[in-house]
Amino acid sequence: MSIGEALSQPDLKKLIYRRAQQLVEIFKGPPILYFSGGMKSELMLRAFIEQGLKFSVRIIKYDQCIWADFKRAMLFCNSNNVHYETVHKNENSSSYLQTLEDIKRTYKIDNFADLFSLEMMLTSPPQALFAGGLPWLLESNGHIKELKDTQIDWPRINFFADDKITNTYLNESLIEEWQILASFIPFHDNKYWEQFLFKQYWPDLSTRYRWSGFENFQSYEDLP
Amino acid sequence: MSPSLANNFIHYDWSGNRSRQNHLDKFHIHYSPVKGQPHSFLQESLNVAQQIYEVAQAKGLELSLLMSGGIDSEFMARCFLRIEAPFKAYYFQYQKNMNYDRKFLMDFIARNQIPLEIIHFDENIFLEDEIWSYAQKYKIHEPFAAFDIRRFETVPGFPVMASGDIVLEQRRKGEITSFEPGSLRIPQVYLEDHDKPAVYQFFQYSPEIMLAFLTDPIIRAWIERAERVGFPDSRHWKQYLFRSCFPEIKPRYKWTGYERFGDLYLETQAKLTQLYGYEKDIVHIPLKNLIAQLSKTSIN
Repeated sequence: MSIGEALSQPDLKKLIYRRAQQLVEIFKGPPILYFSGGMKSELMLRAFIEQGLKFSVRIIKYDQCIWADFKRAMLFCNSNNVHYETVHKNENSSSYLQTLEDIKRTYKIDNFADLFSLEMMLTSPPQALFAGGLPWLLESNGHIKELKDTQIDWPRINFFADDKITNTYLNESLIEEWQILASFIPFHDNKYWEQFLFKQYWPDLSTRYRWSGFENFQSYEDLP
Repeated sequence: MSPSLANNFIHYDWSGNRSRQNHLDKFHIHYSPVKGQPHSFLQESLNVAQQIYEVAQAKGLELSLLMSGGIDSEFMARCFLRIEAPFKAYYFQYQKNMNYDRKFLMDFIARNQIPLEIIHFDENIFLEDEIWSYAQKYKIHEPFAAFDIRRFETVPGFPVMASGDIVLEQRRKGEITSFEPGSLRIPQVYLEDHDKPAVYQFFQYSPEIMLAFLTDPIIRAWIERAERVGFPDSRHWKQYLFRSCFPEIKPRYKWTGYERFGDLYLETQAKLTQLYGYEKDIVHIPLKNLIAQLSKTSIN
């Protein structure tokens, strides 16, 4: 990348801020932020809090959630004086499993993470906002594969589903470094590295150790 | 000499009078330096597996691998499979499980047709009640040491645990440290006290395996980037070193695994810390000192 190109590179944090502003306009009012306690949904909250934008929060609590994430979500809200509602989901109940079956049939998907995300979206109000949308890089036999959420026509808005954010993200030097190293190391995916990219912009973010967040469910079969 | 420590590289002493009051302060584990340039991390791991297998055979005991579904115990098991040493796997099934770890384990066991025994364990009863007798006896400040002792009490044969992996930490910017070899001694003291044949720290069984880990290109790549990128520790990268040895290994996303127990674990830990101090059993040393200690060379 030349110096000129580097200087013209948009700042990822500014783009995330701008996305939050745009979404308030799109929603014509405060959105409901769905917060899992993961890093990306925390970033989404930060973009609203740090700009003084209005929003409300729902924390999702599954029976077998990743406990550390749920606790982190509550602590983050409490320490920022953010009021939240908790949405409890019993993912092992027969009614929930039936809903998953219905979604699987309707949307013709068998990816468990997508199934859980879809269920959450379909049972949320129209002004709900989710923290999906960033590309996900996978290393396989020396090749990097980019996965996007776009195979599904998501019924709600994903905060990071924005072309400028995606392009800037992929051109970040840390993500490029991951791609160069990936076949030598051999890394599986860029999820862990991604956290350090965001820590460059928000240094007080804490590192998470998890996969999609749904991996602890008994019904989850989609191992990474 | 404790049977678990019986090899040519590790020695312990009680530094004078052995006293139940402060036995941990006096229990020291020493590691001899490497005898020569270590082979690759995989080769040194296979050598460790071979040595452990021979000790178990000499004692006429069946190898019993404690497997959690985590990557360390899977790596260890793969080493024993590679050297064709027969073993039985033991899995502790808790009230609160990490289902993805369990699935990793069951998949691995099924693919490799490994005999498995599942031991049901109620961590709530253990953390609320049973842990205190262990804590008092061994001055335990961290619940995991009591869990480890209970595992050794439960598993027959020649139990081998995949602990002792070297974790490099960046505790302050640019300052990379490791646990001093021989840290986390409490279960070793239990093994010695009970003359129990077992291996507690597979990844610290020889100085060669430790030095091979520290000098592996993947771990060196972490060291080179730690300060710039801000990596807090090498745990995540270690998985890729394991994957470079056995490409079928899949990375996990967890911390120690004890996080599944939630608040009860943390509350118990806080009470233990109040009673017996904090991290008394863990000593951090600079990485360059550890490498120098293992290789007996001057590192700049």
